[in-house]
Amino acid sequence: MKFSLFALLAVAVTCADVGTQTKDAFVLAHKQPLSTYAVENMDFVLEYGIYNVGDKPAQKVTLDDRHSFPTNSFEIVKGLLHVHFEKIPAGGNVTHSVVIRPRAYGFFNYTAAQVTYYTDNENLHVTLTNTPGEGYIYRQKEYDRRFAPKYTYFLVFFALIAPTTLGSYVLFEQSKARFPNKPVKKTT
Amino acid sequence: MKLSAILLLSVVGLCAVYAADVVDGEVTDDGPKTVQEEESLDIGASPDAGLAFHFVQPADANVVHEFYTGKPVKFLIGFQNKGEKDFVVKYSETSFRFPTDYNYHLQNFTRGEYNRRVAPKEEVTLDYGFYAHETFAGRPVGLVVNVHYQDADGNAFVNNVFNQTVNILEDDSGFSGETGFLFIFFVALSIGGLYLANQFLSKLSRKSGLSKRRVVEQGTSSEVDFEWIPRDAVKNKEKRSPVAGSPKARKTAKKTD
Repeated sequence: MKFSLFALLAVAVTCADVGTQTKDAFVLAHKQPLSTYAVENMDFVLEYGIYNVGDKPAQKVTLDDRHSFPTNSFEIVKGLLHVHFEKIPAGGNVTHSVVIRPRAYGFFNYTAAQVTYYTDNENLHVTLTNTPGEGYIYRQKEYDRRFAPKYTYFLVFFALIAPTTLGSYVLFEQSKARFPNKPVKKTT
Repeated sequence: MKLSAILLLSVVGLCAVYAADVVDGEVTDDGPKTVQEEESLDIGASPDAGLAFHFVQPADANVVHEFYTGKPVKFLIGFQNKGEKDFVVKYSETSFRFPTDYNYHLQNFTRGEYNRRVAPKEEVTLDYGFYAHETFAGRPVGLVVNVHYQDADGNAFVNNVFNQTVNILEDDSGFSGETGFLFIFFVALSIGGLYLANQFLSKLSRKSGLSKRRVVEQGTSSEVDFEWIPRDAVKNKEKRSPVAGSPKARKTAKKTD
């Protein structure tokens, strides 16, 4: 009887162990644009985050996003689209950002970046990040129309209001010159 | 009798260990937990799928389980295909539940549609984000995140990746319109008070202090100070004014000339 009790307890513990055993490294990777607008010939900032939510460190973590930004339509201003991290400890995370510059306008599908890592130096894992989805790359002209400082507009505006403001100022100066300021004599 | 008691003990022990697992951030394929959904009672997790859950924003949400209203809450769901067949991750389902009764839905968020194929031995990260509404400020709610996916044969599975009570806090870091306008109102009120006090004090001092001699205007003096009038204006005045009378009268006058 006692033996069966121990056996059952042992079975229970081992069964439970399957659920609570220390997990291998589990890497989550996400990719998100930090810039609100993608505009042709203007900087566009991307951020990649790699989170190790497992209980063991992830080894030889590589982030590769070269295929999502072909060099004929994107110029890489700063940062690398292919990076390597030797080790990400359990519970650790890495953020990586890249500045790119779209060469043309139009719709563009932002696809997933690929992250590879090893658990225990031999098991290769391939992870794909989330996909930010389809976005629109604005034309420079469209963007300028909405956000650029409109200096020429102001110049034209000042030229238009010059007759009323400058003209009346000149008239005021003329009449002021006719009445030179003299010390006021006290009368009475 | 004894055997049944032993069985009960072992089951209780199992449950206790499983309950301890809930504290862990990562949730893997354990069936009993997914039998939470009333509409998907018969659907469970696939043994070939490994899931992970991680909050990205706010950064400390993984530990303290606290969100601020009006600030985005973002999390990642990791999906690992450990089997031999493809999986298709269909969508994620996020909802707020009543903390004491998880069958009572407080708010269902929009599904996160993914439809992503995960090849065998591959992993995929999915993201979702939401805002907690102000009405939930200062109270705990149960946050439940379920992931729905299919295998290559079309069998549907549901995994629960997050199922805990979270605290929703009021965000008081930013500018609140109410206090801002209250401040402006008090400033205006104090300026008005100062003005009134000044008026009152000056009235008092005028009464008690030396009163000025009252100046009585007695019309303009006949003397005109020509000094300040420009010379050309004075000359103009000396010039003869145009002929008086209406143009018609002038015409007749000319004719008579």
